[in-house]
Amino acid sequence: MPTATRAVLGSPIFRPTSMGDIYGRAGRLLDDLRALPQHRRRVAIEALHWVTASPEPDGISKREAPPFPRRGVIEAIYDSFVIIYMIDTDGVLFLRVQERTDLSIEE
Amino acid sequence: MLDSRVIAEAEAAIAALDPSGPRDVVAADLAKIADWHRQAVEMAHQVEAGALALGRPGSLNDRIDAVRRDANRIADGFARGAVAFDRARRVVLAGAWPTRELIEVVRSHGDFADWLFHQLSALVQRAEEVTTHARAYYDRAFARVHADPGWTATVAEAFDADGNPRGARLADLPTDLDG
Repeated sequence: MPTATRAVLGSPIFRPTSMGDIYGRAGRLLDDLRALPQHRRRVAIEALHWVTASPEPDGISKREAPPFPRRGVIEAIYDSFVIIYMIDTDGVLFLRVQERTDLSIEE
Repeated sequence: MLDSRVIAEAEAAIAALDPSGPRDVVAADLAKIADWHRQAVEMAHQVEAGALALGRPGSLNDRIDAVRRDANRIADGFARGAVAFDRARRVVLAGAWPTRELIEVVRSHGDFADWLFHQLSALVQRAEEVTTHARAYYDRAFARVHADPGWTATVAEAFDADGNPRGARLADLPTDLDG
C-alpha cells in the first residue's frame, strides 16, 4: 500500500466509525421515536415512563439482553415496542425503541 | 413478596373477636385487626404494582387492568376498615360506647372485613394466574425478537466505536416528542 494511502487510512478521519458515532450522543433513540406516527409515539413515550418507574429486570417483561454486543443491556417489551436501555449511576439511559408487529401473535 | 398468612391470620382474628369481653382485651384485638388491615392494604398495593409491572402483553391487557382496578378498590376498602377499627379501639378504651352498640358496629365491620379478605385472597390468585400467562407471552415475544437476524445489529447501533452507549434519558427528550 502506498505510504500516502496508508497515512490517510490511519488518520483520525478514517477511524472505524459505528452508527452510534454518526447519530451523536443520543444515538438512534430520537430517530426511533421521530419515525413513529404521533399516536404510536405517545405509546412509546408511555413505555419509557413505564420502564423508568421500575427499570430493574424482573425476568418477565424486562430482561437482561444477551451479552453480545455488550453486557449490561436490558430489553423490555411494552405493547408492541421493544425498548433497549441500560441502568447507570444517573438512572436509565434509553438506547433504542423499536416497534414490531410480531410480538403479540398468539400461538 | 406477598404473604398469604396475613389473610388466614386476619380471618381467624376477626372470627375470634368477642366485643363483649374485657375492655383491654377487646381493644387489643381491635388493634390487631386494624394492623392486619394495614398489612392487607400493603398487599393489595403490591398486587397492583405487580400488575403494572406486567406492562401491556397483548390479549392479557384487560385481565391486568381488572387486577389493578380491583387491587386499588380492595386497598381502599382495607384502609377505611383500618380507620374504623382504630376508632372502635379508641372508643372502647375511653369506655364511651355501650357494649351492645359496639357489638353491632364491630360485627358489621367484621363482616365487611371478612368479605374483603376473601376478595384479597381471590385477587392474589388471579394476579398469580395472569403473571404466569404474561411470563409465557413474554417468553414467546422475546424469543421472536432474538430470532430476528437484524436484532443484534439494532442493539449494536446503540454503541460507539469504543463500546460506549449512545442514548438519552427520559428527562432529556426534546419536548417536540411528547406528542
